[in-house]
Amino acid sequence: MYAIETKGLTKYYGKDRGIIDLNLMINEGEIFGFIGPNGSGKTTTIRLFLSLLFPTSGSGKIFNYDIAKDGPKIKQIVGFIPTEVNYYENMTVKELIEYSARFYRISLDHRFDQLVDMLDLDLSRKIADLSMGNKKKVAVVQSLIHQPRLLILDEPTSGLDPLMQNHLFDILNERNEKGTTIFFSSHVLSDVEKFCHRVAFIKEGRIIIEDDINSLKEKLLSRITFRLKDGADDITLQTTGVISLKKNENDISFLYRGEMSQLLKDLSRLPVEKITITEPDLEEIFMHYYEDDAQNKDN
Amino acid sequence: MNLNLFLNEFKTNLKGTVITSFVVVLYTAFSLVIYASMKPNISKVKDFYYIMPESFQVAFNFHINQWDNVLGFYVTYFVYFVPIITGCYSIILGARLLSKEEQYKTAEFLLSRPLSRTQIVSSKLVTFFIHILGINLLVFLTALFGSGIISDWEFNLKSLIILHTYGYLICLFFGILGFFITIVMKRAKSITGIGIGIVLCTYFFDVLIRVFGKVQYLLYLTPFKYINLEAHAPNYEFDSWRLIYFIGFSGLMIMLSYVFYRRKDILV
Repeated sequence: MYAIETKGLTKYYGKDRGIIDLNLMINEGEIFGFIGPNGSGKTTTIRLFLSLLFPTSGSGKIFNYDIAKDGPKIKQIVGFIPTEVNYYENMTVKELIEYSARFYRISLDHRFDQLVDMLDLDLSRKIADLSMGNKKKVAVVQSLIHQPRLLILDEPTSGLDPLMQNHLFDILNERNEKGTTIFFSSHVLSDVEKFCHRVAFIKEGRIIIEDDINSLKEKLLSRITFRLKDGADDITLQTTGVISLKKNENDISFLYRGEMSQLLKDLSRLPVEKITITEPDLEEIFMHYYEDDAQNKDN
Repeated sequence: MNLNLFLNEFKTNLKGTVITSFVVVLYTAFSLVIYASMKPNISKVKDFYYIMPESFQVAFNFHINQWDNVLGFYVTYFVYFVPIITGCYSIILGARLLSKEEQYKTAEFLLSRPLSRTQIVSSKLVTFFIHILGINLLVFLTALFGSGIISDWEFNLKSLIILHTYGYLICLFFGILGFFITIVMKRAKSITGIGIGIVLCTYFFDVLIRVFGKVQYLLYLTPFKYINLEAHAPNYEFDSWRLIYFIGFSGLMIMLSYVFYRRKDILV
C-alpha cells in the first residue's frame, strides 16, 4: 500500500489548467519533495489530496482511501501545513489548537507542551495579532497534535526564521523516523535537497521528472569552475554539454552535462591553473532543466 | 452534524443575533407602548388614519378597522419587525455562514479537519435555525407579554402563535435562500447588499400586488404574499398551501445545498 497514489489525476478549472495526468506513487515512511514554480499545480495537487477540490478525471488514494470519496477518513490521518496560514482571527492560539483537537477527539498531552516549548509559541495571543512566522508555528503544532500518518506541507518554511526552520526540520525528521510519511511541497530547493528522499518536478501542471534526489543530481549537471594561468590567451571551449558559461577575467564557470572524460580531455589542452568540480544545487538543476526545455520548444 | 463546529458557529454569530434581537424586541415593545398610549382614544386615532388614501393604507398594511384590539394593531406593524428586519438578518446570516469561510480563507482549515461536507452544512444550518428561532421567540414573548399587559390578556393567543409561526417560516425562507446562493456561487462572498435587496424587493412586490392587484404574477416571486396577516379574523388558522409553500421551498433549498456543497470546489 502506498501512502499516496495517483493515476492520471487531472484537474481543470473550467478551461484553465490545474494539473494534468499526475501519476505519483509515494511509499509509506518516505519524505517526498514536490517542486515547481508558482502556478505549476503544487497547491492544486495538495487541495485535491485534501478534498477541497474534486478531480476532473483520474483518481487518487491516500493510504488506500479515495480522495474524492473518503475525505473525512483521510483527514483523520493527515496533518497539513498551508503556505498561507488563515485561521480564525478572533481566537487565541490555545483556543484554535483546542478547537482543532476536538475535531480529532483528542486531548492535548505532554507532546503538545513539548512542541509549544520547542517552537516558542505564546498560547495566549490572538491569531489576529500574530506575525506570519508565528502563524506558521501554530500551523505546525495543529498539524502534528493528532499524530498523523501523513504530513502534507505546502511551503512549510516560508515565514520562519532560520533557527525555527532548523527546529521544524528536527521535528519533521523525528516524526519521519517514527514512520510518518511527508509530502513536502516547496520552491526552496535547498530545503528539499537536504530533507527529501525523492523528488518530483512539476511544470505547467505536469510532472516532468521524478527521481531519487541523489541520482537526479548526478544525472543532470555538474558545476565546473577553473582559473586560467596569467597571460593566457582568450580561449574557446568547443565541448558539447556546456551550459551557462561565465567568464570573469581568468575565472571561468559553467554547468556541464555529459561525459566527464571528454570534458577533461578538452580542458587539458588549456592553460588551467586550478579546477574544481562540484555538484550543483537543485535550484540550478531545476532552472536549467526548464531553460533546455524552452529552447527545445523554440527550436 | 458536528457538535464542535456547531458550538463554535453558535458562539461566533451570537453577537449579531443579540444585537438584532435587541433592536427587534425594542421596536416591538415600542409599537405596543404606542398602542397602549393610543388605546383610550383609539376611535379618534382611527378617524385620523381613515383620512389617508385607501391605497396608502393598503400599501403600509394599516388594518385600521382592527385597531380596537391589540392584536389587530400588532398585525399592522408585525410585518416591519419580523419579516423585514429579521428577514434581512436571516438572509445575511444564512449567506455568511459558509461564505465567510471562503472569504476569510478559513475554509482551508475547516475542510482539512476530519469532517464531511454534509456535517459542515448540517452544523451551519442548525446554528442558523437556532439563532433565528431565538430572535423569533424573543419577539414572540415580547408581543405575548406586551399584548397581555395592555389588554388584560384579552386577545387570541392562538392567532399570535400562528402569526409568529409565519414570521419564523419567512425568516427560514430568506436565510436558506441566502445559504443556497453562496453555495452555488463559484467563489462565495458576502452578499449583504444583495440579501437586503432581495428582502426589500420581495416586500415591495407584495405592496404592488396589494395596491394595484393587476400584477398578480409577482405573487410567485414574493414570500410575503404567503404570510396570512389576517390574525384578527375569527377563522384564522394555518393554511396548508401556505405551509407547503414555505416548507417545500425551504426543504428544496436545503436539499440542493447538501447536493451542491458535497461536490463544490473550494477556491480559497
